[in-house]
Amino acid sequence: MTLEPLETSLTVGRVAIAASALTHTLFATFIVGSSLIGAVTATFSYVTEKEWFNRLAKLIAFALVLSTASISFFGVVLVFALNIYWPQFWHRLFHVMFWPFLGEAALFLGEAIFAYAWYYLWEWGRHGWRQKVHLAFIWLAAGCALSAMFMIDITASYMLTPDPIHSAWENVFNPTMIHLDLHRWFGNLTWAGFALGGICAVRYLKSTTDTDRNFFQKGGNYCFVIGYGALLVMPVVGYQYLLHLRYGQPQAFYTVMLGERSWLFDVVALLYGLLILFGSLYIMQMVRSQSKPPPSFIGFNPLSLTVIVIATMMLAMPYQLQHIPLLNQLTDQEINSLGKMQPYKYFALSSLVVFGFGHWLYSLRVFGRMPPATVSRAVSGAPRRMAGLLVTLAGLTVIILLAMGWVRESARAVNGYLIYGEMRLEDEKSTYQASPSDNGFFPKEIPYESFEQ
Amino acid sequence: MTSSSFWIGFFSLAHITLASLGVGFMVLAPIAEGLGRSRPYFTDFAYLATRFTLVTYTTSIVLAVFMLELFIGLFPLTNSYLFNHFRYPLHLALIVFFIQVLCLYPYYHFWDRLRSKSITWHITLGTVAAVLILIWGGILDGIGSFMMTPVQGDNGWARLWNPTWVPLMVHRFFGNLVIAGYVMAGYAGWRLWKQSPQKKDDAYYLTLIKTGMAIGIVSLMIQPVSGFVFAQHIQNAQPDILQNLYEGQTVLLVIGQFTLLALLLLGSHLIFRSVHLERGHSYRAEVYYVLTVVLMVVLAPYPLYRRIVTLLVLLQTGWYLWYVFPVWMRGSTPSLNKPFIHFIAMALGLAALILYLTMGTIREVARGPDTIHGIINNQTESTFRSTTFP
Repeated sequence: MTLEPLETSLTVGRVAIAASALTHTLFATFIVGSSLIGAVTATFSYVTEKEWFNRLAKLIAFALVLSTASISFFGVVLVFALNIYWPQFWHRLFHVMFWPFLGEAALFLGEAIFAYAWYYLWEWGRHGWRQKVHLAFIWLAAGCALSAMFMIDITASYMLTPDPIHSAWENVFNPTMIHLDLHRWFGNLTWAGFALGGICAVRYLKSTTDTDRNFFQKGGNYCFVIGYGALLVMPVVGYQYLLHLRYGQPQAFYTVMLGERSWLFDVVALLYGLLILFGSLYIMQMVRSQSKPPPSFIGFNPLSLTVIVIATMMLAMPYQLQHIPLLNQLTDQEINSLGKMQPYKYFALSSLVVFGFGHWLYSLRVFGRMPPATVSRAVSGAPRRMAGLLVTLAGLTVIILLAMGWVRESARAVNGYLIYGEMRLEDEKSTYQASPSDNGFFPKEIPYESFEQ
Repeated sequence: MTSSSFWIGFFSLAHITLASLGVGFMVLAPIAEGLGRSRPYFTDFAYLATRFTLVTYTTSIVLAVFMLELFIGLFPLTNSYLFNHFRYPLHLALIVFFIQVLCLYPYYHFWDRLRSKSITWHITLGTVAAVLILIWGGILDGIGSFMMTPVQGDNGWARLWNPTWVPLMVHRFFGNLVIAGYVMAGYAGWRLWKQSPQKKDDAYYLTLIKTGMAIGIVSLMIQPVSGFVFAQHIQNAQPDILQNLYEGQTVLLVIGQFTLLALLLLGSHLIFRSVHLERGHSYRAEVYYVLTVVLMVVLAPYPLYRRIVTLLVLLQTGWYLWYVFPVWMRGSTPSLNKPFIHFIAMALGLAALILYLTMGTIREVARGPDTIHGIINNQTESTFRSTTFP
């Protein structure tokens, strides 16, 4: 059997795959995070019988249903794009990861069915024994979503650190699999928390009644606390992830930490610092909006914000200046010693986590003392600023999520690999154009190569 | 390879069950909403049909992805060939699908809000969603028909224009309406059967039964004609396909298909005859009708004779409906609110669903052992897989 060459540039294929994969990722990660937050919120609603939990759970359910619908479409786009633009890679990957892929699809089907049942049977599940069944729907949806993520993480980690090459299930224990999965757990909670907070913020700004405003303000705070809490865990898990990447695939580690794409990691570091900074500013507004702010916060806040600003700058400081695009036109300096990981960036990262954690504790305290239905304080512009900060946090999370995905792909692609050490980008070239021996003419047909062991 | 085909077929049929209903309801919803301007029941139906579509939409798509993933893993050569050779139409299909999703979700989720601003624009939104899903389905039909009657072409667009593309699209379109109509009637029958008599919703569900049956029977009468055209195009392009179909065990599927068609016709007749006609019913004509329908099933393996008898069946059905329809559509029909009628309506909904799935199976089986007729066969796939999966 033969295929026709695509007669286009390999870059077109790379852009198509990257665009569809990143869009797909945005929704997939949101589903995993929001289903988990939704399950916890629905449980709170069931246990405490507080109406605002129920209303928030329904808002999350609606967002979950829409994102599930979107991802089913974007999943189709990604599968089509892979089939069209990288057929040889896709089939190689599929031959090895056949069962994890099927498992992922089956589990996503489960997630969709349970999430839809949760949303569309809302009224049905309001009373009696049905409440428990209704609650079970979202926990089952969350369980399916998390398990589906586990399945896809086997493939994702396999592409970077395949071990062994020809076996699917043994790759559950490849060097980066567990750490990638754990990293995504907290990453998804961060993204979903801030995104749901952003939705609450937008709805707050559009609200016309005090009841709605109070609800969305409280809902925004609730989602923020979850997102910010998960954000603080990310460096700890990320450190372990990189450590295992260093041992498992040193060349890839070098590429993103010191090599050609180290500047991209600096961008991620900058975004992380900004997230902590804006999160801390949000908490400052949360605390100040209280009638009796904790006295200790008055001393803690200026110190903490100062440290966070300095740590953000320190963490984003590049070490390998020569790899930053266009910078070599401004300076001949190749190394910036202040950008060294040891000790500067470790100090910066620790400071962000420690002082961020301090802020988070204050946010918990404030949230715990929020009245169930606060009377709006029209005299203060703080809630509007808080809404703005939540939207900013959600926006920054989108960017950092895409940047982190790009970093992981760069770790492979910059070194020319689609499956590390096994399949190179060059192996896909025949899909696009003729071999040099064809004197520049496109052949009518190209061979389809099997993945022989 | 049989096992591989079975599992792909299984998920394909599961997908088709929801997808065909979804497409049928998407087409009917804006029409019903338009009729709802003067008869509010139809607006309620439009909302209900769209709700069903929405609830099952993602499940249907994921089942399709599941089927596709099995296809990638179990039939890699066929999969690669099709995606490679139809890459341009598939790009259009994805764009169309994207816009369709953008139309469909607001159509349902902002139903009241959009209708309060303009009912016409809301109907337009639903119509655009319906047209786009037909384009998406049409492109996929092009690939499906190519697998049966492939043509040499310079690009994917040229290959879409294979001999059976348009006949398959037409056949599927009315097939979707058959299933949507009968399932609508079956659902109404179930709701009437479940609730105690003289509930306030009776009139609504009776309207659904009547409308569903009308859509179902009219579309069902078109199906043998569009099916004949489809078969003729297959015969002209690839004569061996139909020859293979009537040889061996696959003929049982053809007999099964016509048995289900017969059940639908006779069951529909039972429901329609419950309507009171001034001129009464001719028992002699009914006995003759039953005998002709039975003869159609008996002659199923013999296309020429079967087609002649089917034509007679269609003429009789049409003649009968000519008298019944004016009363059916305009008159009050309390006689429909009986458990016997409810049960028949439910059974017909199920039969229509099985008939649709049987027809899909026949199309796939008829191609065997080729996956793309004359280009790739099961043996090639099997050999390829054995080299890659020792």
